[in-house]
Amino acid sequence: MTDLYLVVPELYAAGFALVYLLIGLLIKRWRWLIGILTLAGLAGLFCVSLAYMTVSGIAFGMLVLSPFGRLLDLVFAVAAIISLLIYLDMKDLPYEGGFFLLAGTLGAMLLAKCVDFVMLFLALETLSFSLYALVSLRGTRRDAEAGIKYFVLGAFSSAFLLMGIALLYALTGSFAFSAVASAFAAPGYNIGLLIAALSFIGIGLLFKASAVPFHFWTPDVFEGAAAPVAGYIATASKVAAFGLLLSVFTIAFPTNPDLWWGLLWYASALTMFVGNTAALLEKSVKRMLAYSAIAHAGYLFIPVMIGGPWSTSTIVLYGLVYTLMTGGAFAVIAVVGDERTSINSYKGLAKSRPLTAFLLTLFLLSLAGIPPLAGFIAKFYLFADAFRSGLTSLAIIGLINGVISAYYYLRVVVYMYMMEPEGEPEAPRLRARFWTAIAIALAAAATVYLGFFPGPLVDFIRGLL
Amino acid sequence: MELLTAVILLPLAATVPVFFLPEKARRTLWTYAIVVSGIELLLSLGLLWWFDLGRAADFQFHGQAYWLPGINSSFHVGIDGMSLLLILLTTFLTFLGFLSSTRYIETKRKEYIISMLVMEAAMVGVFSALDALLFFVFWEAMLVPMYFLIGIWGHENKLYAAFKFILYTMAGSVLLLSAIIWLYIQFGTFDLIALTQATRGLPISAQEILFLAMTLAFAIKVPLFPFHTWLPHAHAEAPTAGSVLLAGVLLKMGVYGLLRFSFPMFPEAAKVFAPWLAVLALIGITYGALMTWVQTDLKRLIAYSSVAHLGFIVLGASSLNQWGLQGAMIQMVNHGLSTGGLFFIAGMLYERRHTRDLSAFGGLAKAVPRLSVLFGIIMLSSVGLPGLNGFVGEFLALVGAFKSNVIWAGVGATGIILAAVYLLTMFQKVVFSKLENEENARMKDLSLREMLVLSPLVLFIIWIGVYPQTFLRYTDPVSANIVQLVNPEIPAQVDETRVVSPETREVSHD
Repeated sequence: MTDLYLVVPELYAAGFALVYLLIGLLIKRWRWLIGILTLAGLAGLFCVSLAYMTVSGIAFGMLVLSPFGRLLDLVFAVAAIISLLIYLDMKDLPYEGGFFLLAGTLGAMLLAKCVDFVMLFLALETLSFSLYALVSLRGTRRDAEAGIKYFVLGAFSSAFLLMGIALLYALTGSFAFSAVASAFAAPGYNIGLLIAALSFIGIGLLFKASAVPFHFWTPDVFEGAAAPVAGYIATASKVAAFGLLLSVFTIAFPTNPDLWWGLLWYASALTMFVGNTAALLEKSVKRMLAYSAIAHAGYLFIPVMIGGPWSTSTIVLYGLVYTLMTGGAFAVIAVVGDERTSINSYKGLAKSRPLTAFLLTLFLLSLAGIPPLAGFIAKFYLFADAFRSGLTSLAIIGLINGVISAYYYLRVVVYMYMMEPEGEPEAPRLRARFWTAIAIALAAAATVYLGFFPGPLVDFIRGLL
Repeated sequence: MELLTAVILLPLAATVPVFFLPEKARRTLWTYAIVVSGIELLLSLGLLWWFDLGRAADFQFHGQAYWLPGINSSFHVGIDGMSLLLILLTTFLTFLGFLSSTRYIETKRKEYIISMLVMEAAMVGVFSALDALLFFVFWEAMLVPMYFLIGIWGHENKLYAAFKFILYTMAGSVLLLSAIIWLYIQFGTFDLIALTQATRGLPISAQEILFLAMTLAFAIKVPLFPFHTWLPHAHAEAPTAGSVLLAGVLLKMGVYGLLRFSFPMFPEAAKVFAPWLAVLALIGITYGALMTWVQTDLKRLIAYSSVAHLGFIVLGASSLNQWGLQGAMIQMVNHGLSTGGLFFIAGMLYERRHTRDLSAFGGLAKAVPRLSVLFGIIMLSSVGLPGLNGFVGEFLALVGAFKSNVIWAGVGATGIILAAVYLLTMFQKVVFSKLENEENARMKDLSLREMLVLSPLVLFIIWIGVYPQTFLRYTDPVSANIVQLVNPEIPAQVDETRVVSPETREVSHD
């Protein structure tokens, strides 16, 4: 019973997903009502996670409940709120997608807390299968193509992961993360096999985190998926993957860090660099944001490598800020049109939709890390941490990458503000629908507020970790 | 709330109502912008009024507020004499910039006003930040509005110029930020005053690396040869007020960085690298002058002349004595006034003729006498004619250079001659040559509004030229401080400066 008490927020998330599915069935003709239900339910998730913030312990031997995990829950709740609100405004998408979004959120919540490979696999598949379904929900050819691609590659990486887990079980007879650590420490184990097992697991995880060279699925999936779904994959799923990476690397591999450390160093540098350079060449805004998501994954490797309370708070802060700005950017993409992703569609947007263009500019500048927006604060804490921990060269590579990224983020701004709209006769009149507008407003307000007054939030996070 | 904080925040807060004003309400928008920047100017004059001249080297109007927890960074502001002059220059030029824009900017007025106001807040912030991280935030925050100013309202090649400007500066910022974070990790604080105390104990090798990292960022901004290639594009393509602020204020941020960070924080390294800076400055003076000579585009010409003029400022600063530093500080203000003025005039000519080509003009003296006279005065100030402000600054800078190295002064003096050559050639082409073009003959003379823009500039040009003491006494203790830090063993140097101190009230160039 006590274990159940520990996981009340997870139970709440699962319960709310079911409630959404059932009640939604009755009221699915009134989208605004679903909107209110969603907002209330997810606000509830936010509050429950907040209330259980300091309830720590290990549930069922599989989940570690700690303030870190609960803080990430808040990030997932924010990501879900933004994505679901935009989703509800897309009239051509069935309301059931919302259920998958909520189920995915449950998966993400479990993923960020697991310390057991069985739990890891279950949580990962809960998240992944929800996303596979979400991507292809519209049923058009493009959606289906993206969905199949995502599913095939995802299943492929899951196979690697399972293979690794199976090998590990054969070696240690346990599914717990800590068993790996003791396996390294104890003599007599077959180290070669152990490393093979962990490499398989590593490949599976890097795929989920869309790290180079396992990133190829990202732009294709983002392009095909509806904007809120792409936004959700870019934010919640990614932050969950890094929460997981942190616990894998701190619990499972603490005794032998050198090996993983070098590997992560290269993964980080490559991911940043490849993501940013590929984004430079992209003409589609959605694909550009996909590469930007890859690049940000590269930055997030840095705190994973550092470990300790400073970097956990960095992951939370960066994850939250990144979720706000990327979610906001995808919300604006939803307004401009899911199909009109070419950067040319953004020409002259400042003239036709000045406010929308301004808010997208805000999100992009924040993503580029230009002060005084939230993105700068998050990046600053991350890189200051890297300098402090002696990762000087990686930090400088990251900062240089920040300059490269400014180019492609600003290019969109150039198209919106400095070019005349192209004569697209069939271009629809743009209108931000109600819930989308709310999502954008929330994200924009938070991006600006956290840029100017990061103090309270940082204090709150630091106080808990 | 403290006055200084108000000066920083007012323009920022004033952007909010602009969002709600209709784009069509042309008159309301401009009136609002001019009134806001006018109030801002008055507030900054309040700083001047309450500034304690007796403690001009100390930071006054302290304001401190909680900002970034856990890492000892706070919103800490304060100004000394040097900052005060630069803040006044900023608010003054922004006000005039708005006044000059009412006819020039015809599209996206709201965005223009917002960009200008954000710029103003960031520029004032840079000059008053006493926290290294806060300084960096303001330093970077100014990029985006400037980028918009160039990219939206600029001339033909605006996109290229805007990208070049922002990427160059951001590349420099990487080094600056790295250096700032390194200092923080070493000393656990971002506080400028504490850091300036602490860094002096660093070993020379560490000082050198940090000095180079910071100075490179500042040198790009100045811009020092060979990092100047972004400048002609940015200056030439920006709209009038953008060029004015770029030349008048933004370039000063680079020099300010040198004088606030590089030199006082790493005095040992400063002594090592000052000759190198001086040599680059001299190359910049000569190269800039020669490039200016052959320009046919009025704005590009003024832009290249900035490369030469900024060379004088850096030359003065890197001579590391009281004369040179005083020259550099007063020349920062001078250059803001004279080059700002030249860009205003280039903008007024462009509004009339829609060209910046020198050969399109000619004989303006007859057609537009008022404009020609003011143009003449501002041009001569830029040449460095005795009696006008440019002379004071360049003279002091050259005296400083002379005391450090005679050859520097010799090469620098040649630069003044070259400046006379290219500016007078330009002036002759534009104003005095034959009135051949019909369109020039029909050109309208200055309107009342345009007179209002130019005459305060001319007033200060003459004031500083005739009685520089009014302004020099604000920077005197600041430069004495820097000299003390870098050369503590030469107290005699400080005594010499009594020539420009309040007691003797002597004009410096006798």
